[in-house]
Parts: sequence; C-alpha cells; structure tokens
Amino acid sequence: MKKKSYFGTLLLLTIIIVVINIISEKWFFRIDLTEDHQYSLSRVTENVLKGLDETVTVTAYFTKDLPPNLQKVKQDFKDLLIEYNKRSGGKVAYKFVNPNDEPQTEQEAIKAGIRPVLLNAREKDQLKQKKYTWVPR
Amino acid sequence: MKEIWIITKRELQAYFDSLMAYILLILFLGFSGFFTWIYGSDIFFVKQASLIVFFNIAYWTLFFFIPALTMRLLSEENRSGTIELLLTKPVTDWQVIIAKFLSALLLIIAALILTLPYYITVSSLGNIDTGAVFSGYLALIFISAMYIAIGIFTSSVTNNQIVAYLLALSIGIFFQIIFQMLSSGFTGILGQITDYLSINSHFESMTRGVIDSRDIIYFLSVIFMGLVFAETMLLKKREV
Repeated sequence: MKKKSYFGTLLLLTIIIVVINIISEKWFFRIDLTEDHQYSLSRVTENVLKGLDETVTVTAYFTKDLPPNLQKVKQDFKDLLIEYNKRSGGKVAYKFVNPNDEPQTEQEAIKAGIRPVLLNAREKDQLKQKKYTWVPR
Repeated sequence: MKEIWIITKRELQAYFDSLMAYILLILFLGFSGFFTWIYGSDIFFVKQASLIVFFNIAYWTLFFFIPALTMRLLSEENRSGTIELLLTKPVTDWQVIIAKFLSALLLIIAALILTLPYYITVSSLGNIDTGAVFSGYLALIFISAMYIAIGIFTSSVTNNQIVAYLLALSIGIFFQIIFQMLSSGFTGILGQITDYLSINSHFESMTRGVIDSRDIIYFLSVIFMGLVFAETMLLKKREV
C-alpha cells in the first residue's frame, strides 16, 4: 500500500516535469550575452525565415579534421545554421558533407563550384600539406 | 533554512577535514589546466581568445569528479547507521537532501572560482568576450548541479560508496554521450527526444553565450528529479 503511493507520486511528478519541458519547447526566449550579439539575427532575416513556405536544405562541404582555426569557421557556420533552424521552426535544414569520403561527393562539391584548397597543417609535431575543402556553400 | 545551513556547513567541513576537498581541487585544476594550456588543441593552438576550450575540458573533468564527491554523502550514513540518527532530529528529508546538495555545489563553485585566473590570463592575451565567459561558467554550474543531483540519488540507493560512484557514472554517461550517439542514429520523434535528453545539445549553446530558457528548464528538471528520487529513498528508510 505504502509502496504504491511512492510510485504514484513519482509518476505524477515525472509527468508534470515532462509536460513542463514540452511546454517550454513551445514558449521560450533566448538571451544573447555575446558582446557583438553574434547569435542574434536581424529583424529582416527573422522575417524571411518565418516566411519560408517549404524546407530549405543547406549543404556544407567541409573536410574532416580541419586545422583548428578553420575548425572555428566550421563551428561558427554550424552555430549560425542551428540558429536559422531554430528560428525558422525547422524550415531550414542543413547537412554537413565530407567531400573526401567518396570521389562522388568530391565531384559534387566541384560541380557546385567549390574547389579544394591546399593548406599547411600541423599533425602531431610535423607540418604537412593537405588538401582541404572548407568553403561553405 | 537554518537547519539546512548547519548540515551544509558540517558537510563542507567533512570535505576539508578528510583531504577530499584538497585532492579534488588539485586534481580538477591540474587536469583542466593541463588540457587547457599545455596539451591537445589548447588555447594557444586554437589562437582564439575564448574559454571554450576550458569549458569543453571541464565538461569531462566534472563528469568524472563529481560522482567521487557525492558518493559518500548518503551511502556513508546508510552504512554506519547515522542516517537514522539524523532522521530522528527535527529536520525534514528535503532539508537533509538540499543541505547535502548545497555542500557539494559550493565546493564545485569554489573549484570554478579558482579557475578565474584563466579568464584573467586570456583577457590579457586578447579581446575576450566577457558575456560568453559568464554564460559558460553558468553552464558549468548547471551541469555540476545536475551531476550532483544524480550522484546524491545513487548515493541514497546503496550503502557502498564504490557502487554509488559507478552507478552515478553509468547514469551520467547516458546524458553525457549515449543519448547524443542515439540521437544521431534515430530520426523523427525518437531522435528529437534523445537529442533533447543529451546534455551536449544544451551545454553547447550556453558556452557560446546564448542562454535559452529551454536549456535552463532542462537542467532544473533533471536536478529536481534526481533530488526527488533521493528523497523518496529516504522516505522509504523512514518507513522501515
């Protein structure tokens, strides 16, 4: 008898918590604390994102294991896309493709006008020339 | 409130009496400092005046250290039988749980305050974004509180510290990495749920400097659930 009442309370609390979380998915606010408001979008962009009728897919070609300074570019770009995705209610989809995986995807990237770039890269303790594709499109 | 503070103070003293606090602080600062400044893709390698490197390291060090901090809290009392003494005192179960939660949280906050020299150093090296750093530290405090709540729950289940530690780690690893792995494997609603449960999706945007009400509600929910479960375990002991 006693045991059941514990179970009931726990179940009830769990349901309440889940409901609160689901509600919070609908109504939320975001505070951008960065100095230059990097992750806040302008009014115009927001209107465009809200006015989208169908899903827009952004394909980004990035080589895996970029040097850190370019990794930052990739991360920034991804952050921006996440922001677009959230503001548009999922209307902006994105995928990251590693063009060096298969020759076919590399061809695709070149067809889309993205040329590989040669860069110096530090690997463990040596410098290497590597072929990188990192221009986002 | 007074009762809570008395137990919290006692627990904090126990940390510092048993060398536990010193070992934890030294190990935490040692690990975080080593990977932030010396090894791997450290701050100098990234060449950006930001503490994101440190936040990503602390994300893992806290995951391993916090269960070690919380494993003792209730399991030791269970083992030595002092839990019965404590519960016969005029304190409620909630007060005991909250007090123990606060004592661990205060110790972690002390550890985080000791990393402020990182901020000072980086800000003298370049133009650091103070808002983002503030939100990153807030994120670290939230995930610490979350692991402490999980740790207190596992500690209340057993009377063996090692079992409590391992249980806390295995629950933690789900939030830390397994939900994230699952979310990349599923699509649709299941993918969304697992992605929502994974800490990383909430932690990442906070370290960038974006505070989202959803992330805060997520952290508070997990903390609350952990403490409620721990309280239920105490209640059960009271009945027997």
